[in-house]
Amino acid sequence: MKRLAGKLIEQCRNWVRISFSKMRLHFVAVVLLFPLVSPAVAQEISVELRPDSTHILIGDFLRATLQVKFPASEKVILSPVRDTLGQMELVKASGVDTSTSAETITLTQTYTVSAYDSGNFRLGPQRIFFAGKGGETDTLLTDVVMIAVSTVPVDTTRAIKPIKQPLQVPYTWQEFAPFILLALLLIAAMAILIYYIRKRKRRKPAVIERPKPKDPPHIWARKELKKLEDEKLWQRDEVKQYYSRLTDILRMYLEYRYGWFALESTTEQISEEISVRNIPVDAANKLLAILKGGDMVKFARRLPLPDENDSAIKRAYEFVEMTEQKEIIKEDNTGK
Amino acid sequence: MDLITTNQTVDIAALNDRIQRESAFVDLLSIEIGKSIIGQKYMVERLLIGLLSNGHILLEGVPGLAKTLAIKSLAAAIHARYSRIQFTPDLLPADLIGTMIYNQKENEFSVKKGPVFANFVLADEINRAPAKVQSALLEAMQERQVTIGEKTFALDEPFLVLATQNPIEQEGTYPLPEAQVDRFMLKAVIGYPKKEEEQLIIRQNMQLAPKPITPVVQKEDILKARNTVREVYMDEKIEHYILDIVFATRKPEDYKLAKLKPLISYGSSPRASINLAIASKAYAFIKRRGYVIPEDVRAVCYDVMRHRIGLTYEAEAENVTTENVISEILNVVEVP
Repeated sequence: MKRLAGKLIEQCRNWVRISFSKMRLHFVAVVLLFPLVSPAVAQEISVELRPDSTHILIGDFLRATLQVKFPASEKVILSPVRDTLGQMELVKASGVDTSTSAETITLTQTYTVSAYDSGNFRLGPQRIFFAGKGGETDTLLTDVVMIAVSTVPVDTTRAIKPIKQPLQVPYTWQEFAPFILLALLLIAAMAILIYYIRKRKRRKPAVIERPKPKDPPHIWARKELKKLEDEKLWQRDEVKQYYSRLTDILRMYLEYRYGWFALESTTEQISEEISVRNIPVDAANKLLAILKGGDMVKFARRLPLPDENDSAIKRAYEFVEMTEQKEIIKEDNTGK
Repeated sequence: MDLITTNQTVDIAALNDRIQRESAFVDLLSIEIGKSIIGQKYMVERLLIGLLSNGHILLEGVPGLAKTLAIKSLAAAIHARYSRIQFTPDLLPADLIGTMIYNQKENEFSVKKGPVFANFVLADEINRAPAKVQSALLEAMQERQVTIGEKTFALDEPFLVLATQNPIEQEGTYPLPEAQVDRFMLKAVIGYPKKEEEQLIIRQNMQLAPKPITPVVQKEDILKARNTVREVYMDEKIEHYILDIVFATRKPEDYKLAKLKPLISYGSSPRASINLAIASKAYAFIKRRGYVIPEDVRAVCYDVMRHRIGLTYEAEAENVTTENVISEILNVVEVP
């Protein structure tokens, strides 16, 4: 029995020498007592706290991964980590990652730790709670890992330098991204707004609003021509006035009949327009003869002969007759 | 609107006959210019209008549209002195109008006349020179005389300035102020030639010996024609038409064009009315008519008025041009 105990102590010493060479003495007791906690559970539940490194510079970050494997039938809870993990300062703890395979569940959590003094620091143990045999809560501890924290070696051969200014952390896209996105959104919103305002205000061609006569265009034109005839303007030497009225009546008739603003068009424009409209050639020639003759009287002081004045209004009547909108009377096939 | 009525007695038939005779040189000129300029009828017509109505022309068009060649050809066909000034940022007024040079032999200052002393002056890319040079030229254009030192020299008649502007390059330019642009009778915007015209241009440029332009018109003929142009009959109705067009730029709301009001910052000056009337007469003369018709007014309206209407920022934001404004006005103002 004495020999067995001595062998066990010797084995433990070796193991401690290999894994925890820098561990302080009072932790040795914990490790030694570890197999006594629950040998049966230890076979089923395995815990491991594994750091990336066992040596860091002061203030550096160290990642330590805690992994707990246990049968699916067991219920295991990780102890929440607060400010420290052993003697190491906790910087950040990740969420618990759970992976399930066949009958085993693996819980993984990563801790980012650091130390702000030099020396050897204890990392862990971390507690894992599980339901024991009798249903009571039992505890399992991870191994303790010693982390050596050293300061930056000082080169004493060199001159003393002033304290360095804080490092300028370069700006990253992530920092600017929200502002850029906001600016882009604002620009897009403004562009859309301007587009809609401009679309709403988009210039429409001038629309001239004039009261329309109650009579159909050809009846209105005939009445006006008759009125002009009765006024006997050219007989009273008001030839220019006569032709102005005559051409205006015809222009208005074109507007009422065909819906284009002939009153604002020159003779040349009317000539171009009637060539594309469905106006008989004879009628178009009569109209142009009146308008061109009228232009000569109005703008070139031409004095037409009395016959010409008479024939001008006759032509106007003929033009109206040739272009008037005919009523289409459908024949009654029933014979009634 | 109360407007002055005139009762001038004009023998239009006799005037027509005289114009038929006196405008014969227009065809000769057109033929001669046509030896080197293919197409560009619009530009040649505007050159002739400027020539006949004693007004200066601002040509706007991209490089390579034969602006320089057109004026060179015109000068060559008229037997007149031609000079070309390439406006640059370092140009000085003395480079333009001339300067006093010290003569060591005579022990006195003598006058060295500048290139502005010519009948036809091509001010190429006028907006490339600073304001002081532009104003020196525009002063000469307006006063038709140049003062060098203590002496004042009258410029030879005919004196026609053709200034060009490139609309596509605005960097490093000195845009002409509105007051100075107003001194140009016409602002003609030159477009690209038609496809078939350009084909002829290629063929013409392949010729080894291009047809030489010979002087077919004397300066005196031009001066005489200018007097005849002033005599072209313009009826009161046409005068009212011109006034309506010009006043519509100042008070658009009076012409049922209230929507144009926020687009126009300032309307056309009385100089526009004067020039519209003279240019219309010159156009009628070119068309070998002794009287003006509304078509003549419309034909020159854009060239006379496009640089005499100020647009607001709102108009610029909506891409409304002075041409759009003029079109709206012409579509609404009743033709006599």
